[in-house]
Amino acid sequence: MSLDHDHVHAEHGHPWSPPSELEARVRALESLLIEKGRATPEAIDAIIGKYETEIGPLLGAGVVARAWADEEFRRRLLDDADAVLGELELSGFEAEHVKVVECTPSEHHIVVCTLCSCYPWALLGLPPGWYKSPAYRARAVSEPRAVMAEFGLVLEDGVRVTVWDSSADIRYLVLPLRPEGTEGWSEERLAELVTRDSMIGVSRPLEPEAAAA
Amino acid sequence: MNGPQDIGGKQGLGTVPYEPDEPVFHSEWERRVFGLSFCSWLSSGVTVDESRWMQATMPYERYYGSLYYERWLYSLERLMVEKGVATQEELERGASLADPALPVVEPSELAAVVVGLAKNGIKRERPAPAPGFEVGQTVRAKVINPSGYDRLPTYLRGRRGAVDCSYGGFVHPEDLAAGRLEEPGANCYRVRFSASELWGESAENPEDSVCIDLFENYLEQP
Repeated sequence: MSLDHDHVHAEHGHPWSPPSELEARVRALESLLIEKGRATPEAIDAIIGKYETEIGPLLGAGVVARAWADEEFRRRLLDDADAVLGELELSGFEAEHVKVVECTPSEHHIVVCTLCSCYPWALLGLPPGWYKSPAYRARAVSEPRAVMAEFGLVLEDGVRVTVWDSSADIRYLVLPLRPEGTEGWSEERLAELVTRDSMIGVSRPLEPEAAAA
Repeated sequence: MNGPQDIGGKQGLGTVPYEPDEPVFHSEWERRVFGLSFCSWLSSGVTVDESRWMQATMPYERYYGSLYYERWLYSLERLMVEKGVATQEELERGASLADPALPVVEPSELAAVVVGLAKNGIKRERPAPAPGFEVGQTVRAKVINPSGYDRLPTYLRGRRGAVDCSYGGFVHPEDLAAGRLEEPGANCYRVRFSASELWGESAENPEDSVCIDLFENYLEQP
């Protein structure tokens, strides 16, 4: 078991080292629950692997890129995301019901969960530390513009902000504005511009020159 | 419960801690807690809302002093005791002292079942009575202060908003948190609150708003 003493943990933002007592507790619980038939090493590894290698933001990026490239798909996605995502087999755990919210030149969207960390797992994978942090959960509803500014996103005058506080069964995915200068691009190229953070609404997609670099 | 988890609108929490190129898990113990929780919830019939409720009842200093997966670990330990899967003594020993009830899922099938759950999810739609509110209607979030589990954040209580969408019925999270899986569905609505209704003159922009999904029992006619 590796100990990473040096990194700065995203959730609290200060140098952090896991107490060995914590690791001991995890080992004890794992042994106990395997002994009691509540978990198996195979099942634990299988589910970790699923979220480390398969279920992640590339899935959501593919959906966004297709919506940019295909008008009919975009219209259906905004109208009935569950039907569209079901066809694509993306209606998995913690994204059983999804609403896609589209940024326009006059409205910007940003997603949070103030009560816990609800997040569209099946489209974006497990949420990043900052999304789960008390600071983000507390501030995204009361000062979304200040939060976005910390991410480097300052909206033009006249753009209103809608904050989506995920509190029940519906999960939210932001469809960002398509970057200018991408006319005629394939879905694959477009997908490279779609970042996880742009699908949460705290930043814009990459610019075309950034992807070319 | 307006416990440590109910932090929408709270101040004094500093800047958002961004970590570039963040890995999915930061260390091996986080990976194990995630995998172990996912498996044990499923094999012990634990709902996500039961785990959320357990975290909401953590002492404040422990909630804010813990890393995210430490809160999962706390929740899983407590839930295994509450569900009769393990005793406190067994948790401390890391070894079984008595045979518990059989798991909900056969251990040999568990890997396939957890992966299937990740892929297919679990639908919580459930028929509900006729909706009591209409799209476009002005509603008020009730002033309540329950000591049990709820999904009405404190920052909305007593505030007026407009019904933006009527979703129909879902199993109520309060039922899920109590392990009552067979209750009738409850109507859920998307309600839009203006930033000035929520934050007064401190709102960053009066044109901004917060949309949130609230169950019918959290709303009333203003």
